[in-house]
Amino acid sequence: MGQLILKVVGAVIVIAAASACGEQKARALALRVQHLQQFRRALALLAAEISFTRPVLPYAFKTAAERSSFPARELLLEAAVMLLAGGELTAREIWKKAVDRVLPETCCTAADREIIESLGASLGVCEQEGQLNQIRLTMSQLDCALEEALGQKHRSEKMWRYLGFAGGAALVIFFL
Amino acid sequence: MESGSASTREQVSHFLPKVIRDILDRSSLPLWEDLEEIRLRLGRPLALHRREGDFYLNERGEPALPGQAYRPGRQDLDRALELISDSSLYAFEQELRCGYITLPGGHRVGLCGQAVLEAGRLIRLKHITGFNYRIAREIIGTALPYVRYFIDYRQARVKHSLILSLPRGGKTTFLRDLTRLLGDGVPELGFRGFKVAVVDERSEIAGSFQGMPQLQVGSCTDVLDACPKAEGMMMLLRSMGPQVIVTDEIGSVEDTKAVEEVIHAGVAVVTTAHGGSLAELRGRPGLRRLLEQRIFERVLFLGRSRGVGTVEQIIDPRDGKVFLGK
Repeated sequence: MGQLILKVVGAVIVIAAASACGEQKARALALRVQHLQQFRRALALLAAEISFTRPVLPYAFKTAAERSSFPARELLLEAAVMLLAGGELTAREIWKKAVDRVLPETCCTAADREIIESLGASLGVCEQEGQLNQIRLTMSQLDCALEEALGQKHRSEKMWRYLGFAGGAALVIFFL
Repeated sequence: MESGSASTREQVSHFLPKVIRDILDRSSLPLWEDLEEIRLRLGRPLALHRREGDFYLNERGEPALPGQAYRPGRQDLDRALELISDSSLYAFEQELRCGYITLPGGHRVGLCGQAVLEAGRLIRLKHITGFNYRIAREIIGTALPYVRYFIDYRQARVKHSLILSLPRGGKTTFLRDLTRLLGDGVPELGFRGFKVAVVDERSEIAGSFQGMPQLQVGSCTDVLDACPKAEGMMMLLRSMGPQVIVTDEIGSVEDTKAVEEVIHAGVAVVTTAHGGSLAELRGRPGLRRLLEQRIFERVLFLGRSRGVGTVEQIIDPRDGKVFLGK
């Protein structure tokens, strides 16, 4: 009797753990969409700021960050703080450092990261129209990434949930 | 009293690429005491201009012949542009069109490169290959011995005045200090401050950085920065109710028309012009018109007989009466 209870508890734990793994995978897909949306929204705010009030970059970052959420807020604030501190780093290097610090905390892929990092090359070295075009280009690249992430989410979210549960159940059957 | 060289060094070197900053720091010369310009040109010798003339520095910060001097590369110039534009070139389009960027402290960086034209109009510079860091030096008190000549004590007003010199003759330095004195007043000379407004088209008088005057032009003086003179004078006349409008380097017909408008509105005008004599001014249509109308009540000539900015003569051009000098 005791052994059966132990087996049932073990089976429940295995299925719960496998389901949690599946859930985590599914959640990561949803979070990737959310994070990409946040980056896109923050870039739209940055473009509006540069277009209308034309503040210098650290202040444009700060204003856009104030109206953004994680992880875009953290990225912009990190870059703004480093820019305001001065030093020997260029805007491009500062942007890369901020990306290196913030992106690992997100569910973005290496390709998403590359898109966001690529904006750094144009930061502060173009006239207004050029700067806005570069931001818009990054936004349209993020749109593509977002579309792909949404597709993946729709295709795979449920699959990962079922797969987690089914994988756990299969393991239980295998060990029993 | 000249502004401190330590603070000048701090203000300017922050905007120089590290390589250049290190070269200046390594130099044993007392560079910052009377440094007027630092010139970075792509692939050409690093040149500095002091009162006594131009010289070049090598990598060790020692004076060198042009052939042995340090030659800034593309990376140095890109970094310089990034530093002076606060990594935000888009925010300095107007300045790029004018060919200079003003730094905190009123210092200016003149830029040279390839002009981009649109419908025949200069819209900006690209491929910037030359930077001229021009050190702003205000000389507080330089106009004090002469300010009384600009005041009409009976009517408690400022006389319409023109300051005249050849280029680099110290006009703006004198005008800046005169503006400060007119704005703050000099009780010991028997006048209180006037309501002074400045149209600072090239940010040279007040050296404004992001609209904030960096040089002393009077504690209550209104400064309209980076605005075309003629338009700016009319704007100030309508909006700020000034008693005196100060502006620099008038010359065009539009400028002189605006001066006439201001004067007929009962506001005094204090301005400067390039020229060595009244005869030279009469050769320029706009200024000739003002002289013919006998608008100016005082003309002050600056020269170099005892160094840059020497007040050579003060006259009333209407009757030729000489108040100072020969």
